Order: sequence, then structure tokens, then C-alpha cells
Amino acid sequence: MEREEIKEKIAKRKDILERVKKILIERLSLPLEPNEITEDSALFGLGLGLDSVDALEIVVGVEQEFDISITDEDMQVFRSVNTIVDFITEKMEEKKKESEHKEENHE
Amino acid sequence: MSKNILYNHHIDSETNLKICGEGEMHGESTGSKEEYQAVRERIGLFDLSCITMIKITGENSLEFLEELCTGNVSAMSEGKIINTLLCNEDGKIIAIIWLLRDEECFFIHSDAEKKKVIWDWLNQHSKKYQEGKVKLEDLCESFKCLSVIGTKAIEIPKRLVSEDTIGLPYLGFEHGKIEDEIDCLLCRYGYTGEYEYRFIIPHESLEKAWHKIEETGKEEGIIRCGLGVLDILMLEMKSVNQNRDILEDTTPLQAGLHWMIYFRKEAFVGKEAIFEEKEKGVSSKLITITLEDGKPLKENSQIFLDSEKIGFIIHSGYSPTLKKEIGLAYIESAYAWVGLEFEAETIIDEKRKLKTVSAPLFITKTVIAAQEG
Repeated sequence: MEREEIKEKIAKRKDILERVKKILIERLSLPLEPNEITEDSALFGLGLGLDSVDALEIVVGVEQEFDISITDEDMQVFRSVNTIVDFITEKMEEKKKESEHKEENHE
Repeated sequence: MSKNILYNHHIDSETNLKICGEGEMHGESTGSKEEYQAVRERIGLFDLSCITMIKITGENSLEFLEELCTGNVSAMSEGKIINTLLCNEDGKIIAIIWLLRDEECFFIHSDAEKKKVIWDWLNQHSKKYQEGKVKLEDLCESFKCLSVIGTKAIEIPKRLVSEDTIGLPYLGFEHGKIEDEIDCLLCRYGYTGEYEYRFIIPHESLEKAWHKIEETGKEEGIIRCGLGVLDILMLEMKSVNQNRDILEDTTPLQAGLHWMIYFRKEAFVGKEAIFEEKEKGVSSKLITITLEDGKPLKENSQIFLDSEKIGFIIHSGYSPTLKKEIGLAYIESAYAWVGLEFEAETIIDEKRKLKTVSAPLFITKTVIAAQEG
């Protein structure tokens, strides 16, 4: 992986990560600052110690913020902040490809 | 070398032996596939009788622990457990502990290897309290711990202690009796992503309890496991092994243990240094990696971006679930991001590709079942 590609990937991930942390803190009223949440913190059990009601709040927050839809089958990705970021990254790439495909067809 | 009471059982089951803490020999293993599968699909029985167990009593015990632990001790109710840290004034990790709050006392549980450092640290700090206001008692000789871990582990306390133990929440404990005979403290905590129940029992009842658990679990396919298999089970969940993954100068923020700290607490030993690091940013971070096939790695293999050294692997092993080698690495924080590819050095100075990935690496059947309610 080239340095430029690394830089670009980090910048994209940082942006999504910060937005996810903001959703967690604001939606769940967590008494934490963004730099007090580690990316691999488990959401349930040890870690942030959230419950299923909190999970639904996160789902709604992520759907609104990133304009993506989350199904019941997707819930397994809600393991940690990082796995949510992986999921969003993948969904956004899918959307980008879809819109590029549509544009090509239109042309 | 002293022998643990279960020594002969470990020999019978061809489990290798490991020297724990102050020299007792306990069951170890190379992390066999059979043991791994027992935990991920059924139940594994572990002899944890070497773990550190300390009782703290006295009218200033809460204040004492609040000062030393990074977690929110005051918020704990009876029967609750927190996973927290003891740090020194420089904000470096001394030990990762489980703290249990009982009716009139607290217990600290931790790894055998940490017994001396924890005991000395507590003793040193208890001296500033008036005599008798903070009392410490080493329970390591008088009490022992057996653990059942696995997707079906819940069946053991249900059948041996009470049907009601099904309601024992994660990070909770209660007093009970094994088959109305052996007093036990039944604790529910662990790092593997599976159900885990620990039976704290009087030393003299260890062998009897071991047999009862083994007999009860036969139907569910319980097998004896050595401590070695815990390494990979924890690695898959990115549960830090403090004896291997935490170095002398590692801080909680480098190890990603933010969640063990109650940041809103007024004071605790190491707070100033931890907050300073939080504002400035950490120099390196512990991150999970997966490795592509290749030659074996050097010990603490260096990680490279082009020819620049940017970190090192602290711990790696083969994940039977993912069918690939995984590990934990300390990487310079500028590059400690998920989704990147670097290279690690092998024993013959070749390079081997690695990827930085999110943790936990997968969701266990136990967690799926718990989520489905």
C-alpha cells in the first residue's frame, strides 16, 4: 500500500469515526468526550456496556447521519465502534459504485 | 516446586504443566483445536486455582480503592464486578483487575503473575490509613477458582448451584452452594466472548468441585482445558493479556483500555498523567492485525511501511475460526488505523504482509444468542 493511499484511507476513516463517536455521545448521552472512547471498545458487555435499546438508538443515528439503511441481518456488525465504521465505509462505497453505474448508463 | 491439588488430574489428562504465580504447577496447554472448539461450541473446564485473590475490608476500603482504581468504585452496588486498572503516578499500567463489591468487603481478582505487584501496591498505599481502617487479606491459599467457559457453560451453575443463576447478569456475582454442599462465590465475568462462570471455593473442596463440574458437564461435552487456549480465545476478542501485551511503560490509552477508566472521577493515582496523554495524544496504539500466509515471524517482529519501522507485533497466533494468523501490534499512532496494509519481518528476514483490522474479530454464538434474547 502506497503512502498516498494510506493517507487517503486514514482521512476517510477519521471522518466517519468522528461522526460515529458523535452519534454515540449525543444519542446515548454518554458522559464521555470523543478521545475517551477507544475505537475497538466493545459496545455491549465489557467496554461501553450498552444494551439493546441503545443499539436501536445507534442504528437510527447511523441511518440518518449517513443516509444508509440497516437491516436486522446487519446487526452483527454492531460489535465495536470500529466494526460500525467498517460497515458504513462498505455501504458508502456500494452507494458510490451504484451512482457511478447509473451515471454511466445514463450517458 | 509445589504441586497444585489437581496436579494428578492434569497429568492424567495429558495437559502440559505451567508454573503460575509463586511456583505452583497448573494445567497449561498448547491451545489445542479440541480445547478451542470445546469453548466456542460447548464447555471448557479450567483450573484457575492460581489466580490472585485479595479481600479488602475496613471502614476506609471504599475510599482506598477509589483512590487506587481507575474505575468508578463508588457507583458499584453489592454483587457487581468492574474490570479496572491499577496505575502508577506516571499513568503506566500496574495491573488489570476485576473488582468485586460484596456486602461488607471488596475482592480483587487478577492473574497469578500479578499477585506480588498488586499485593505490594495495595500494602504500600494502605499504610497512610489508620490501623485497621483498611485491611488486606491474601486469599490465594485458602480459596481456589474453577472456571467453565463456553456457549453452554450456563448449564453448569444452573444444575449445580441453582436454576436461578440463569438470571445472574454479566459482571455480577452471588454466594451459593454447589449441590448444597460446597460454599462458593459464583462470578460471571470473562474475556472470551462466551459465557464464563467462575466458582470461588474453599481450597479443601477444590478436587470435589472439579469432579462435580466435570460430571455435570459430561452431557454437554465438557472437556478439561489448559490455560494456553485462553490466549487465542482472548486474542480473537482483542482482550488484552496483561502478562504479554502490556509492557512496563504501557499506558491505558496506548492499550485501548479507555473503558476501564472513569474519566469524570475527581482523583485517582495516575489521573494527571493519563489526562495529559489524552490531550497530547498517544505515541503508539495497540491494534489487531491479520497476517497473510508466509514464513514464521521473528519474536516481536518489526512492522514496516516501505523501509520505515512503524511498530512491532507483540503477540500472534492461529485463529481456528478465521483460519488465519492474527495478532496484536503496537503501531505509531499516525498509522494505527484499521484498513491499512504493512509488512512484518520473518525469521529469514523476508517480509510478510499484514492488515490492520477491527476488533472483536467476530461475534460469538453466545453473544448472538444473548442479543436475540
